[in-house]
Amino acid sequence: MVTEGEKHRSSVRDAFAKDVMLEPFTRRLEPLDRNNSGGPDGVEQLASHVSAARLTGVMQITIIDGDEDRHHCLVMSSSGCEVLHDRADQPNLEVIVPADAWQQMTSGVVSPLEVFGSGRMRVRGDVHLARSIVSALPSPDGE
Amino acid sequence: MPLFTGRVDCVSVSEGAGFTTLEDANGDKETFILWFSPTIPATLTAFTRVLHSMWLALLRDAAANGWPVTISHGTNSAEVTNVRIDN
Repeated sequence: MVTEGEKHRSSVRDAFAKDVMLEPFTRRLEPLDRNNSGGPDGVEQLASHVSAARLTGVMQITIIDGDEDRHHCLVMSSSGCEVLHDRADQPNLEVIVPADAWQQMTSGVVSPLEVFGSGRMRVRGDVHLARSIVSALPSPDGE
Repeated sequence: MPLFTGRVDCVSVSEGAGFTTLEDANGDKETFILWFSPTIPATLTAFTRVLHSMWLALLRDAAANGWPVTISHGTNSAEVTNVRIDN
């Protein structure tokens, strides 16, 4: 039986499959490991995937969890990707997302575009960098 | 309701979604949702489509003339609730 969520995901993928800019954001993410090596938000594992893509720039992830904001930064350079659990002064890209939406997105339940399109995520800065990062992440939906 | 004031960097329109990116005086950019089917707006009516069309007209004029615009959006959300030209 097809659930409402699956119908919604399918309609989003169909609607944006031919949009070169948005199509990578329609792919769900491979679920991130949240054990000791992945950290509670799975950011270290995210960084390990991004590291291989040899991107440059700083991405800040702000996760809103009740009254608490958690900040992580992916500092990308030609030598790899480092994770800092703090704010960046001038990130090239920042995503601001509630903890439940981050959990759903990094568990592969919903795609980044579904989260953004539901009004639960803000994206500040370089969208082209965001596209490159998402394109570097493995997805059960393929390339 | 949060506000963002800046110049229009990009307007993207398709049947399923409308986005705009603004750049503020510090050079910081943010992308906002004008509509995104089927979630924004929650209920699509003829009036909301006309409203979207009016937002696009404002953004187009602002982009063409380099005028700043101010957008209202939801708290921790990129959903646009109001568009205003500040010329």
